[in-house]
Amino acid sequence: MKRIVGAVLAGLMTFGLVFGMAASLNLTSDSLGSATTVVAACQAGAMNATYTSTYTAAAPGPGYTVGTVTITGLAATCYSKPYKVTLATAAGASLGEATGTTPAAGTTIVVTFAPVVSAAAVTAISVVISG
Amino acid sequence: MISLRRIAAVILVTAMGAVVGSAASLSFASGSLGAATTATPRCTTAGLTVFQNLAAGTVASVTVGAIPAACGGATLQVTVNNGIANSGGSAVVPGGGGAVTVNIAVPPAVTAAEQTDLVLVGP
Repeated sequence: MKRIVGAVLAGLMTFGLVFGMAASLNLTSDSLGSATTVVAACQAGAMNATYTSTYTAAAPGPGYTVGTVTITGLAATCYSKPYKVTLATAAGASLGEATGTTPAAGTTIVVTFAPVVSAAAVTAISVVISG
Repeated sequence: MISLRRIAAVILVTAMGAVVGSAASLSFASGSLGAATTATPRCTTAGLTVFQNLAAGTVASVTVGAIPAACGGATLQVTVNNGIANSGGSAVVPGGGGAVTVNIAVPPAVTAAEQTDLVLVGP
């Protein structure tokens, strides 16, 4: 019994010293929480872009320009979400950007570019759908 | 006495686990985000021949030749601009390519220099 009481007292003294040392620092902390989640695309199916070209005598013509891009293959899981479409050169320079919201029905997005862009310069298209 | 120590140890570990668990339990969700970039290919980079077919002092049609088979099914659009007015037309390239003649809707008058623009769209 004496040994147990002695052990308890020794323990209390030890923790007391530790707590005493801990109390001698002034330390605060901001909150910290973390989590990880998957950022998924709204659809995995392929989409296809087609171009409507028109002749424009004024700049960026004279020549053929693209004012409308039609994207097909939209899935219902991507309905009513913000999108951005960019037409670019081979070097990646943006020629024009159009934004909007995907339709709530159907499989087609009709994207209008204003101002129109030179058809000859378009060598890449980028699409992002979020939300 | 031993069993009490074990129980105390289990309680301690469980409590620590609960604290650690609650620290990681942030509620976090993400909206969808999908992006893609693709090339806009050319059905040909080879030189094409362009001939203006004149009629009564106007450019009545344009014949575009040496179109490769890879452009088969594409729509060929041609516009002639004489500096005063412009007009054009379109035709579908046959499957094997070759030469395609496009009639100009309102043939512009022949001048010292006309600009002829063309574009192949699709397939």
